[in-house]
Amino acid sequence: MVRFVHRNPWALPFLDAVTAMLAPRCLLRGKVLLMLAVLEATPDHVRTFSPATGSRLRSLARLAGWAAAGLSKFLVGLALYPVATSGRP
Amino acid sequence: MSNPDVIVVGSGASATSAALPLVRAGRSVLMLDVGNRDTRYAPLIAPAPFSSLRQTDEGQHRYFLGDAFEGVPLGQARAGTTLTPPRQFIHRDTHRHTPLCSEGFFAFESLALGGLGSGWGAVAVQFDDHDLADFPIKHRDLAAHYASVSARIGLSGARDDLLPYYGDCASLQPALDLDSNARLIYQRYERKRERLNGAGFFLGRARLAALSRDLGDRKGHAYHDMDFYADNGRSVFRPWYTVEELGAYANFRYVSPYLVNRFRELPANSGVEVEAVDLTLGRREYFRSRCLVLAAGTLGTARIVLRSLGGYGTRVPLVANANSWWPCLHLAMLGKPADDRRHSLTQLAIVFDPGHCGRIPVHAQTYSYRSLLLFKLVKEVPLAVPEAFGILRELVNAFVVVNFFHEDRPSPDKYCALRRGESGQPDVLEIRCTIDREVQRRQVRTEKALLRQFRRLGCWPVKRISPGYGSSIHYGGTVPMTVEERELTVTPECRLRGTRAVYLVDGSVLPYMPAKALTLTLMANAERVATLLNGELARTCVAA
Repeated sequence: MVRFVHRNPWALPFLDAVTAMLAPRCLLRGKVLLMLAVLEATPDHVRTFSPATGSRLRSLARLAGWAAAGLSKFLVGLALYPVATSGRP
Repeated sequence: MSNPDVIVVGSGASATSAALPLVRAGRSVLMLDVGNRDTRYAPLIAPAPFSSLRQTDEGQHRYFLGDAFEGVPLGQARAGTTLTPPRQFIHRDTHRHTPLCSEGFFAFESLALGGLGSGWGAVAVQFDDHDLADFPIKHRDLAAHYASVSARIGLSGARDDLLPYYGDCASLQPALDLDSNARLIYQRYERKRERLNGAGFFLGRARLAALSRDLGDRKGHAYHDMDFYADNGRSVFRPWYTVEELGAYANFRYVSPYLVNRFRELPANSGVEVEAVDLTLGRREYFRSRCLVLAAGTLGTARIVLRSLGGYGTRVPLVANANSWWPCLHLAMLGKPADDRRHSLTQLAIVFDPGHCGRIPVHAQTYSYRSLLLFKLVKEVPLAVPEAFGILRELVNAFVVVNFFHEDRPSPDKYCALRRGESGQPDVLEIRCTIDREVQRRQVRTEKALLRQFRRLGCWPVKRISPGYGSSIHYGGTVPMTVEERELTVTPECRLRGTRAVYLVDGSVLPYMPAKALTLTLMANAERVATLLNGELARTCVAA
């Protein structure tokens, strides 16, 4: 799957979404998480990683947005997953 | 120092609590320890608040993630997952020198200076007579030692609803300040106290071995939220402070790196000989003393005892607090900013006593989440990383993590046995634990019953994380304290049966594991045993 993503970088968000659900300990997910950890431990990105604050309503709206985006990526990823794991380019 | 009066094995909370009264009474004490330390990360961490380090320190990745990314756990949650890179020296070399083969048990040992106490969560509560019901000693036997250990290590807490369960302490400092998250929960509890107490739910401030005021050279807590990484100001008690204190006495000697293998009693009451390996030279050395105090940890002490008494293959019991984590959402905090000034330790403690009988089956502690960073949570969310991260950014200030500890009793399905190492390899401690399914179901039911009350405080459980039996790192019971004469047990004075001068003072002597944190009791018991031993040494001197 990692090779597939190297050849088709556009597929990463979708395969990340599907592996989060189906194969959370896979190599691809591990690499993405490691990258996230490195970014989080860098002063330049500290604001990006700070907790979000604001009104409760806005917070709920943002949560719904993230969940919807995650679900759509998962559905696309589900279609891609058999191709990415089949070993074909 | 010629042959000392006492050899103490280990340098953890129990070992130091036993050594100190002996040394103060003028006994010569030799402490044998492996004594690993962190020399890599500690010097990198400035005594500054978490938020300021995050914004300014270019080298923060070293102590947050580790030079070999050892702070980025990608596998399943397991024992010691809260151990950050600066704390991982605590279990360094254990796989090499003290190998384990375990099934159904997540074992964690330490060869560090200060032992497991170098990374403990600092919860320090007393066992009452309900907790000690299966012990051959009572609270009155420990009371003076609880008081003296508490005054020495410095306890903070409040005389609140948990006082009947935690016991009082004259030297108690005011509780550490709550963060905004815990403060809101506590305020709501105060409004609903009567109803919650009626259901057996009691909430209070955490009782911690962490200073809220200066004590000697140690400083009151600075609220930097760096407790998982550094000991700046020495606010949180660590046993290695006591090793330093002991070092000032001429009748005390600390030697490392020595791994103790076995002991043998010398004929004609002439003392004990201890065989240890100098880990620098790989050479066996022998030390003699009048008495031996073993405090190498529940599993380490079991190894030494079994090897010394030829107990290879003999099964000894093992008990451990089953534990679980429940992240909960405190909806009142959604979208609200959290205090920057805070500590990372337990904020609130919960005692659940639905039968109002005093003997509590479960004890819980709450934490807020920040300094362990978001990436550790992202892997638990079944969404793509950007979305998981976005959701967690929204929720992190509202997270309350509840950590449950259940009582545990010995059973034939939970044991360990020592297997002789092959061709020069170290002996292997085999651990087999099968947890009764009905017990597990009962534990989950109890947790859910407690969480139903917690919901009344506006906290909604999200999911249960069970890192596995043993992951609490609260072990005991391998050589239990009993009244009846049995092999591989200790007397109520903690003398190993079948020996004249070998005493055990760590978790190995606990015949039962109450739900409450055990460290303060281990320290008090170690001091009790050392006091008795000192009297015994004085008597034998007079007789001689």
